[in-house]
Amino acid sequence: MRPLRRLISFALAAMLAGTALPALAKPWTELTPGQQEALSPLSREWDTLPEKKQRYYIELARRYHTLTPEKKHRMHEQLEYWSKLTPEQREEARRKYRAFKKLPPATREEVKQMVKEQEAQKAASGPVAAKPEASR
Amino acid sequence: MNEYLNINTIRQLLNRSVAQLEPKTLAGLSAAREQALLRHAPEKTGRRPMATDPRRRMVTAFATLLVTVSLFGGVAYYWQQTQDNSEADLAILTDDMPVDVYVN
Repeated sequence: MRPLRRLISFALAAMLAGTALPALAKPWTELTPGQQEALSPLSREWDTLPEKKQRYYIELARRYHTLTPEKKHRMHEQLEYWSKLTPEQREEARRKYRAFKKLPPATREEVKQMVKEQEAQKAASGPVAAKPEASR
Repeated sequence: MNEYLNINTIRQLLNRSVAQLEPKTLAGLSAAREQALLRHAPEKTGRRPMATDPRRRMVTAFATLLVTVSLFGGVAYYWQQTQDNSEADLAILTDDMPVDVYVN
């Protein structure tokens, strides 16, 4: 059973290395110009982010370059707010987004229209924006 | 009987006893020893007995395959989850709807 034991030991060691070893965060200055452009709203806080979060944003940056200029702009508008959400809030957002996508297009349009109206009302009544409570 | 018999004393005693044995008995013991050595020969040459046992070999192969498949499955699942989340997150971030609609 020696090969099996060796294989299991290797697998365990690999898993431990993946979880227990201190991960190396990448400083902002070491990002490529493309990554810096995609993640510019996070430039100030980048160096304080844990490596796992950085890897997540680098993956987003990889996809950023496939977006249209409008979508890129939209992502920049929302990225800072998104970065302050807790993992639970993000999971909740994904769940709601997926559910929303399953609605018939007409219903989705109605909801979007309603949200737009509410946003306009909010903007008219004062610059009070809902912010996430905590960042983890 | 001496309480402190060590291995050398025992060996000497055995050799003395063996010298008193009949040639026929000695030949029988020698043959038995040869057979016992033959049974253990694979271990002495570095080959494990399991390598010659097809059933154990199959069990080992199956267990190895199971561990490998589980590992790859785990990695693939984690990767797929990350990809799915990343795709959904980009869609949320670039959607017409503000992010807080999906949060609150």
